[in-house]
Amino acid sequence: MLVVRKSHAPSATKRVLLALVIAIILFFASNLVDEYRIFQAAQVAAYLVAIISIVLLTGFSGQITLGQGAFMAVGAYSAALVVQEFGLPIWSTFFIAVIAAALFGAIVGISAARLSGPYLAGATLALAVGIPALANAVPILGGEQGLSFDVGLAPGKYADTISPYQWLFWICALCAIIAVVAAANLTSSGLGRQWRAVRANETAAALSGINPARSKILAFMVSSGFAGLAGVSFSATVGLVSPSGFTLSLSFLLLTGAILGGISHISGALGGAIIIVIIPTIFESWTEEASLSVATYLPGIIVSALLLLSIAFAPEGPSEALHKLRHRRREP
Amino acid sequence: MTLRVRGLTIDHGAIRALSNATFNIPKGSITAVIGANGAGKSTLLRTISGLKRATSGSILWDEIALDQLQTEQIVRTGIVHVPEGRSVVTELTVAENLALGGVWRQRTNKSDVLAAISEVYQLFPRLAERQKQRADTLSGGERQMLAIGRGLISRPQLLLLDEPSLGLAPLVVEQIFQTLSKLQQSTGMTILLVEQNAMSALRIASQGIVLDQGRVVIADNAKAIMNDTALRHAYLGY
Amino acid sequence: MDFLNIVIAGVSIGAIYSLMAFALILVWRSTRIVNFAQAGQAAFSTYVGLSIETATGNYWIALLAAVLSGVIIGAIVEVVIVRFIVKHSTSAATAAVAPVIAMLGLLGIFQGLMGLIWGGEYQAYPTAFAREGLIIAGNQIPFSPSDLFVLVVVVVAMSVAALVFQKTSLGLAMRAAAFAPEVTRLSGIRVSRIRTLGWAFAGGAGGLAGVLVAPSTFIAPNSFDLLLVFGFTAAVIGGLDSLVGGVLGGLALGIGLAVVTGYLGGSFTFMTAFVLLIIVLLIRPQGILGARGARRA
Repeated sequence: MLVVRKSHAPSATKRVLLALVIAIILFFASNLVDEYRIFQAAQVAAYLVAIISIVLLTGFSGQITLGQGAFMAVGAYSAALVVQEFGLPIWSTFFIAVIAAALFGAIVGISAARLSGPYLAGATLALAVGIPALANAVPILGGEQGLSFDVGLAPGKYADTISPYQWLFWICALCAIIAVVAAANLTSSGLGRQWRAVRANETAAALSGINPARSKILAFMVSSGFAGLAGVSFSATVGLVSPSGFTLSLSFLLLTGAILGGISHISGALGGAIIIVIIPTIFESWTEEASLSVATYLPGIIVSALLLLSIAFAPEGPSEALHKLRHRRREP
Repeated sequence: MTLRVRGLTIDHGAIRALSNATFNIPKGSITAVIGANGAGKSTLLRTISGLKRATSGSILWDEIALDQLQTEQIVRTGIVHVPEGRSVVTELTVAENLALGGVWRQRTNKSDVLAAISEVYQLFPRLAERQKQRADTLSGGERQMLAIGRGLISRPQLLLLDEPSLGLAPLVVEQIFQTLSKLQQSTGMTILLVEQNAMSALRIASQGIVLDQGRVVIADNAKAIMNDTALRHAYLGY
Repeated sequence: MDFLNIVIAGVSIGAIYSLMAFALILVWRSTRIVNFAQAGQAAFSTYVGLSIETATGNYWIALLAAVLSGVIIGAIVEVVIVRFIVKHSTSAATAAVAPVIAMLGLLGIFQGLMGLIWGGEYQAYPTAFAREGLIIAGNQIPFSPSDLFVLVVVVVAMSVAALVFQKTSLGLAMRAAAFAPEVTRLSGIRVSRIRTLGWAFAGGAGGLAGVLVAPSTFIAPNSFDLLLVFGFTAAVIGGLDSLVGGVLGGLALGIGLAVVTGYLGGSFTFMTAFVLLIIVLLIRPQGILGARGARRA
């Protein structure tokens, strides 16, 4: 029996208002910060959406995914393709990316919802490596060079006052804000509870009238929709959609960010995204003292070590662990 | 060697499975530990063999404190636990299951391991017939014999048997119990027999320990318990 | 191209996939974890081999060093990391995925370390035998002395492994520990040590696979990811619970991929493996030789 509690989380309307306030703050803040930080913020925004997609699929629906990079690629390539082949305006491509990725996610979900554990991990792993390889092999997708994807400059009269980086940031931030609001609404809705119920105990959920398979497939669909959006966002920051942008390492990196931020909650996604963007840059300042190879590889080692330590000591995410420590609940 | 249990308390999460149990298992006898389901019998055996740690109290095997040892080390002190549920390795053959019991002595005493195996085949001729068969092709009774046989390969001084009669036909149960009795008489080993089938167990035992909801109700001569109708009605259901 | 030639070409690479599958299955059976870090361990061992070869100029010492380092790394990983993970796995929501993620973290550490120690550029690994196809009856077949060497080594390694598993007490203990750990402990066998041995063997097998595959591709910190995916695919095809199945799966995969490459060209190789994996997972998740109900971990 799913007990419906009065949620103490803000209602949907409150969330939208909060989002608007944040959007306005960001709008003004971006004028005060230097260009490079703005670019990084855009990256964080893109990763944020990707991590949210993982939180939804793994944290809520309990299906491990090593292949978010693949869904991002589907979204990104769809967007770039329609620009190239049909000349559609950039803003429409974001919608197309979400839809295309969601459709792909539904197809994958139909096969993957039956798997679990290492089989699911392996299948998503194969996906993560396979989709970029496919993109490499199919000529219309531009092969190794990929397709260009440029969000261009701010429209008309603003082109002088708003820098290309700011414009990029606003687009990415807008996507991120929409994603966060949507995800928050989703997870506090019946669908979010359904996912949690299926994840906790499939049989019990089925007995409560939930269709586990459909719930899981839906999770894949929704998650990859978000990932598709992230893919477009991400490609916007790079200016390019290519196979090398969606490597296995990216999928691992995103999973790492999700775990470090706390895989069970949307709220952790921002922290996770910041970590995975910031850590490499921390070491850039050391490049003068340490050698180049240290600067290149140490971030990866640190992030991976953090992942290992995190999953060993705080599987639910560092925030959960702190929460438990504070309340010191003793297991009987 | 004597097994001495003092003030043993064992918890399963929030549930107290055994409270302050104190008793001795005299050497060279069969002791039946009986009581209703959930009385704490299996937990007691699992704690003696080290699969579970007690909350407090001590278990002494002569001077050896068992609660400090790992399961694998406890086997080496001469205590063998045959857990409930016909614990054979179903993917291995009968011969391999028996050999498994001797692996830990393989290097030091190979010839005795081989001797022990042939003794087990003599004790349980049905196993000898099915040496090369996979354990999952055996009947329930044969699997129980195999599990016990595997335990015997280690030449235990104390054999812990957890509900060997569970799910077996009465005739098979009788057969196994008779074999145990004969075995005890010929080798002088100590047997701690946990059973729900109180009657059959008490008949071959010299001492009985009755558990009820984690407490030792009585530890006495087996015949005395069998003749105590009031006790039997209250705790053993017959 | 002659069909027979293609099959022959696939057998040698298939043997390497079999080795990788062997390593993955060994660990899966003993610990119920799919060691995604195996790629990193194998790569690390191969790099050790490369360093030894550069230092001594001797292929064989390098081979030995690579396998040995694989064994040692495997043992260290089990003792330091896996034991901790297994002991602390709760029934929390992430419990099922925790070992997988931990292994991925480990993989990242290995790849970073390799980059740090040996650099990220592609490097060539030497071979002891010629790599041009043998000439039989005036025709050149796509099977070189090097391929023959690979096949022989894998066959020998697998035979030794089979012998150990089936005929020795150690093998018996390892099988029993994988099937029924509690019963095995109650038989006086130190199951934790057996597990470490299992990981050590798997590490050695992975290192061997790495060294055997290295001459045909340039090695870089990331270059073994493909080997991992193929090894995993082979293991799934054959059945994650069956060592023999893994070997067969590797051969089947190798031959299948060779056929596809031969008739459709190299760019579809990866897609084929991927499609095969998905098909097997959908239709017969327990693999050719696996037991039913093995689909869920």
